[in-house]
Amino acid sequence: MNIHICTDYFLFPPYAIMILLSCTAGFTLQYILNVKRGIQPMTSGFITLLSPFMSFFFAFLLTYAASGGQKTGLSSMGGLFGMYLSVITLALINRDKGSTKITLENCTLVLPLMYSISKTGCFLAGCCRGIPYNGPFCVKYSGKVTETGCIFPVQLAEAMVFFIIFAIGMIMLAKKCRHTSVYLLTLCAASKGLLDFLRESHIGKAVSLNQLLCLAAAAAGIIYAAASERELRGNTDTVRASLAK
Amino acid sequence: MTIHFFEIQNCTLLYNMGYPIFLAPDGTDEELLAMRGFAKQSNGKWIRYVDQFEYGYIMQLRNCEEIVFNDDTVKNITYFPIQYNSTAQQENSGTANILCIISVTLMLITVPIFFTKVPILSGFFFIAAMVLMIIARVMYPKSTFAKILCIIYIFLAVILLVISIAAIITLYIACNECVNSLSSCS
Repeated sequence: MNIHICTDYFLFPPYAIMILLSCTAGFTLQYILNVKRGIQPMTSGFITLLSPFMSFFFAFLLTYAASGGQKTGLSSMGGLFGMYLSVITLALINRDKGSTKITLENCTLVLPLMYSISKTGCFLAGCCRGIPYNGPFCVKYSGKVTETGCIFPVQLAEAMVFFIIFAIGMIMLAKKCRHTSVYLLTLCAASKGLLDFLRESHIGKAVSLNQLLCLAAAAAGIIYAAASERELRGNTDTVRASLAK
Repeated sequence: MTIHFFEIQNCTLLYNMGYPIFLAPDGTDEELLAMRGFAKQSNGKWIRYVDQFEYGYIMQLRNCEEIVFNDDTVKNITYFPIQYNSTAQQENSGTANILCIISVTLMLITVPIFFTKVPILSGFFFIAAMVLMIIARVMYPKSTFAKILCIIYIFLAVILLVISIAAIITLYIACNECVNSLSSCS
């Protein structure tokens, strides 16, 4: 079964609509999660105000810098960095470690949803496309915007994988699992890193910039989990000692 | 974070208008709640405002998933003035004004920089202006300048969003027409 996508769209470009939808869904869910989990509405509001600008800015900046100022476009890894930076900025202003952990976790929870929706936009527009492939579900683009032969539907695969990761994250949150954000971040980094092998842009490269950044993100998540676990153990010991007195 | 406040188990720490509160779980004995200083709200929920000593203790153990308040722990509670750090600074509106003035200057610089050879730099200034406004608003909540600036920036953010969407659609239509006319030429 082959998929055929015609890129002769009429008034509204689907890529822009999907990016807008992804931002609306992501930032709204992030705000709701923050407020529901006890973060002050003002802090949650400032995160929602800062996040779109920071994520878009760094998404543009990474593409611009990586191409040596030759290309413009949105990079998902840059967007992710911007999202986290906005949360960290508010954490540094508020100086409240307890709420920082929750806001970082909420940010990690919504990222797979945002990525999933935006990848659907990429799939409809034909950007970030896959390697040449002739098996089942291969995609063929035609029209004015993109024209290709049969290729692997990597954007659709990414959208589905990341939506599943988002669902796993929400279930873990409902079950109050520990280190939800670290598991999610590692899962996201691993999925994105592996799926990058199926992208057209990966052809001729041993390791892409995206894969290196994924590796760095996973490492940062594991280091953060190890540090917070150590701190938690220290605090539990303090409580036990004070209760034993 | 779950709080066990004497006999009242599984309370939740929330913030009401910026003040920390304990929210008692539904179904708790009302007499017990009243005895421990909880008050019934119009929505039927029982809450208790957290005092500075209790809040200091919570902040000390903020990474713990469960915090227990009982006679033994209350004896060991010491005063950590974290909650009231900002109140002393609220009156210092001079610093807030300086932060706001720098923020406005950075925001105004954004416009000419956007039309230079490196328009991406304007993003740095825009974000820096936003961050400075947030610092002023969080550290000095009573500053009128910061409040007004906050409203203006939110308004500006909405306008920027609408303009961006309009620009994308216009560009897309223009590109489409251009491609159409090129196709008709061949």
